[in-house]
Amino acid sequence: MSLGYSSRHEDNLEELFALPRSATASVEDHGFSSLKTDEFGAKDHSQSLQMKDDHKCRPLWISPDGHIFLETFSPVYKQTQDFLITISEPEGRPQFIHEFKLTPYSLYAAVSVGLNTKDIIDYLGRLCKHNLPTSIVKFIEECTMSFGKVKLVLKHNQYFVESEHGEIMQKLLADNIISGTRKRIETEADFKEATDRIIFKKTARVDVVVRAAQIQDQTVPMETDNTAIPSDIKSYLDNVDDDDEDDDPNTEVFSYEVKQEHLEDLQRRCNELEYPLLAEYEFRHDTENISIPIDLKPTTVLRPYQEKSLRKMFGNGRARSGVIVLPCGAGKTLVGITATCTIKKAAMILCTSAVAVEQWKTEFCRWSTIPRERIGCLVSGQKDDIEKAYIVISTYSMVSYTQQRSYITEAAMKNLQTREWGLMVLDEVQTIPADKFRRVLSAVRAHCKLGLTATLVREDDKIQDLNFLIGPKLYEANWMELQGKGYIAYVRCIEIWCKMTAEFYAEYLRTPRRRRKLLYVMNPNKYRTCQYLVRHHQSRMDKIIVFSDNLFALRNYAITLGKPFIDGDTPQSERLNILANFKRRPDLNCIFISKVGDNSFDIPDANVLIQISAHGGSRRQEAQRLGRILRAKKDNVTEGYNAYFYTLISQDTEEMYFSTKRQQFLVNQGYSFEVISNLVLDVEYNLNFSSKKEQAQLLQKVLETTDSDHDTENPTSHFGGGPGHAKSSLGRGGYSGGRDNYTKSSHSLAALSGGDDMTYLEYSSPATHNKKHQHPLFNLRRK
Amino acid sequence: MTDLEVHLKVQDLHSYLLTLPKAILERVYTNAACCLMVFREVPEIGRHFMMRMAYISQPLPISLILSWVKPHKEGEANTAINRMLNLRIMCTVKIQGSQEKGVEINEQFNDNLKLIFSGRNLQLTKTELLGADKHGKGLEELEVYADERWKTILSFMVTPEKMQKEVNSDLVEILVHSGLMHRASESHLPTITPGGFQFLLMNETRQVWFFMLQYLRSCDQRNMDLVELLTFIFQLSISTVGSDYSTEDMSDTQLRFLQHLREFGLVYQRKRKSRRFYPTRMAIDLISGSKDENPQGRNRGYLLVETNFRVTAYTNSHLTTNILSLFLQILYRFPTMVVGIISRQSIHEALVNSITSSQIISFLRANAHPAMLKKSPIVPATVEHQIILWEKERDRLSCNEGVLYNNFETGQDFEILKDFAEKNGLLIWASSTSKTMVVTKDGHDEVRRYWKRNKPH
Repeated sequence: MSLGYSSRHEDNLEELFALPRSATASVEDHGFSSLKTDEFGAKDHSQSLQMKDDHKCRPLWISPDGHIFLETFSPVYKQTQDFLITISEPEGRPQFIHEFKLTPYSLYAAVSVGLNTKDIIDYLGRLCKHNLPTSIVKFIEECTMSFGKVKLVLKHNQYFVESEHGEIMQKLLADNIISGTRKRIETEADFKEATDRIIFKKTARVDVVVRAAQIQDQTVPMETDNTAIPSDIKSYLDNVDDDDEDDDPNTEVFSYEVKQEHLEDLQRRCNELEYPLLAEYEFRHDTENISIPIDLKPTTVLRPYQEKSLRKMFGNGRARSGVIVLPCGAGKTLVGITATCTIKKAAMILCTSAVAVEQWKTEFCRWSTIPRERIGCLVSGQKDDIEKAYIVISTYSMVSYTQQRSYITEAAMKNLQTREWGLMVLDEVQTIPADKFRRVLSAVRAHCKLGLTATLVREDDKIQDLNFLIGPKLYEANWMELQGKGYIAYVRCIEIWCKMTAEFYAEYLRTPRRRRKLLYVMNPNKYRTCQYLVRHHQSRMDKIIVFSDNLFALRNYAITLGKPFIDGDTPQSERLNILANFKRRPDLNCIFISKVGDNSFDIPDANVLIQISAHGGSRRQEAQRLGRILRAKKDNVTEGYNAYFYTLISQDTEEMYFSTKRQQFLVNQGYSFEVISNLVLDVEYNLNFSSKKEQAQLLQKVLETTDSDHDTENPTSHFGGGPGHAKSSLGRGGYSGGRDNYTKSSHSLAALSGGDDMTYLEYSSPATHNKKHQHPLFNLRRK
Repeated sequence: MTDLEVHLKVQDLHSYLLTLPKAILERVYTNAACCLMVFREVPEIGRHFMMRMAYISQPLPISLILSWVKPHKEGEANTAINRMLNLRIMCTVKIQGSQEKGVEINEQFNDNLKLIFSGRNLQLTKTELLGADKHGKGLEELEVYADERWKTILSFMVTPEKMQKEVNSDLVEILVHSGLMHRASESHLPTITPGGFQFLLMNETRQVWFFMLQYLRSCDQRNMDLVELLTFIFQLSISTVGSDYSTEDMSDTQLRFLQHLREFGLVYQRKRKSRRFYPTRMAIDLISGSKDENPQGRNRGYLLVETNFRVTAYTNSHLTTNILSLFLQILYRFPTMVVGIISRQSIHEALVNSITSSQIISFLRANAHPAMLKKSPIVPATVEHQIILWEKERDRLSCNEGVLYNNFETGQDFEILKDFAEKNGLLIWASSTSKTMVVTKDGHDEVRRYWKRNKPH
């Protein structure tokens, strides 16, 4: 799906990246919408399916609506799981029974890594305890028929359309638009034959990186109870592991060359015809783009799952575009670096924040042999020499920014746009909205795109679009398995219910909804619980991060507890400074972070996380935050756990409802949340806000806040590394209104000297108060 | 008649016997099989006492008995002695020439004990005279038969309209009588009660025992002699599965009882008039169902409870699915498996049917799949905890009876009275803004008197 950049298409990006129609299909559309439910309200397949005689040895149940249930105690569990990950989406992976779901996207992914329709149906049929429902067979056929049959390959810097299926090729060429994109060789005699017939030998599989191959996949050979496995499954198991390479080297491949200038037309038309082109990059034969001297350092060792995920990407000697899903802390960065080292072409890395940019650079220097000066970082305020850089690291907001830029940035961007990139790595790909993403794609031309993420979930269900914009999901790791093998930390998740004090609750009930949040976040009992936990873990020499979405609360907690904090307003240098101190200094073991720290803040030593306020019911945020403490810990194992994740909830408030929703993703990954409903905080602990008087003062303070204090951070400042002068349009004035409460104690020198928002105070406060009277146009502008 | 509370209480054998009149107990003890069963249920220390005392033909002072045990066990010994006295296995007598009272074993009981100790065969009459049975049943067939009969009863409780033809009217009467089902009027089919729901969640041996207790309680209405029934039950429980026994020596009442037991699946009899019958395992396990424990039932566990509140049940039985649906939202049904989820709503529905969280949890534990039994705790702690929390959600309010005072003329009046009530600890609630207060019911008089005395005008 590498795209030639052309300005005339910028207006109709939507159209250009149109999704094929079958992408939105589901199994329910295939004649099962009328499926009747029984008296329990359940989907009853007990009559319609016949069990096989040896069903006890087979691991799967497949519901006609596409849900698959896998027994984890089956002897063929491991192999079956690998297969299911390839063809379906994992829905829930707790201890005993895993649930998967077949979707068009997952099947698309399966096809793109080299499985074909017959194999999928065949394997599923063998693994299934009962006869395969006809709707499933039909669904798989329909989805895979149109997907992955046609590939767009970039060879010797020429685009070729390739297919192993002559009839599809003919069908495509029969189409007027498509045949118009074909580049004909004038001298070609055999004009009638619709396709050029080439029998060509497939290139041997590329070892991802030679060293990586030495670390063998730790698959234990099948246990001795082989007898229990039906023979047909066994025979399949023997070749499922290398289903990537089972292509017959003598397969006939039909291909023709495409006129470069008609590439976009071709892609759009193919999507319309429901034969989306699968993009592959034959980087070994790319002579146009110079190879860059980069390799992994000899000391770098890949973990088995990292290698496995990369094998999916470089399956048949070419690079596929796609998304790799690994839990936070499991080493996504290294996967990205290894991919770069394998392709050995200029690479563009995009991440969410300036801090992440810095971290990527450090990691590149740590694991690979690339000289430091050949890495260019493009963030506001820091413009390295982009032209000479082999690897450019930037942020999404930087690249997709559409308004006026500074001169240097403009020049750098020009350079980016004119270059042809071998690889584009998209970090935390789940965070970018689709339209922004399209803008990025149109700005940067890359042969291969690799998305990295831990949580392929979004509350708005837009996540599936990414699959077609970047490519299919290539690999998804099982969190519990990595935890079991010690690659990520053993986390104990605890939800603590804090009773609202009577005064706060009374106020909570009579306050309008949008102002309620502050009341339950500032609940004195929550504060005291937080203080208690911080003290407890400090005494164990733990490193603690406290997360709060609400800035008023963040600052109040941090200041009264005497700890440093980071929020959207904290300048880049200070952020790095705080993080570095947190890492090194033994006496600084607790920091407060706002939403800006949700994604890609690498804080390796932190092992305790306390969440005092969160963004509604966002499953992604919960998982991302947990990710901050997931990096494997060396010591400190108590009761089998080495990290703690606390969520403080004010009882009887809307937080209760949200927390259940937020936890859903992690619960489905197999995590369990312990609830402590009655934590007793003794007077002896000598905690703040213990007396009625102090609590009343706190309440007063909360009630005196302005509306702006109730807001969480502006989501755009999330991408903190945006272009420098864009800052003023990010609406910083938005929370300056409440500043007067705490500027005096703020540690920011800029604020003290009046260099910060202080000067705007007079003007911006009334503005925020009168928000509703503003003309709607202004509201638009504020966003 | 039923004294069934909303929460089913199942008595153990001893507490059931304690409810029986003295005369009946005396008659029960005339049968050696009965004595053996009662003896078995006595705490171990008590059994030691009895074995020592059985061959001493004179009463012993309690102090002497207590001197047999180490001091720290005296409490336990006392409880055992009291238990035996209450059950009338022992009785107190005056010892001549001593202030202290002595105890001795009930004479009847003692005679039977001696028979038991001497190894007398107490079994029911065997069928040697009849010769071998052409239609004999194997162990497995008996098991299947018993299971099927019992499941029929449970299925009738769940779906009476479907199972109507399978059960006879006596059985329906017992179900209604015991409060497990309720009949709106004579012509209606009975429907299940909250007690019935709880009944379904018990394990099988406990169900059978509970059911039998209810049967025994209503035996007067059927003109059956309780002692004869008890004797027969005790004899059955020391019989052997797979052996056949003769109906020869049985009384009319017992023969009628046999027909009922046949219906429940406790015994197998080929035809009504057959002269032999086979007890099933359910009959032998009957008494053990009186103990409140969760043995690894003879049913292999079939439930998998996950940390994400998913429940997978390996079952194809409609009845089991029905029972699961009491507290589970069923999502999928496959030929050998059912998938469901425990949700706040499904638990609430169960609670509304007055099933308790502990009943649900013990059901999950008792039927846990072997794969779960390897884990500790068996059911994920978070799931258990959450079920309990959902139950607690329902009683966040506590009620205090009180008397409301309002319409005070001035704020001062209100303050005076409020201070008084507060000082004397009678105040439950007060609001200065609305000048309203509530005092405890007991304190009402006192506050009123104070008000009359101190009224400003």
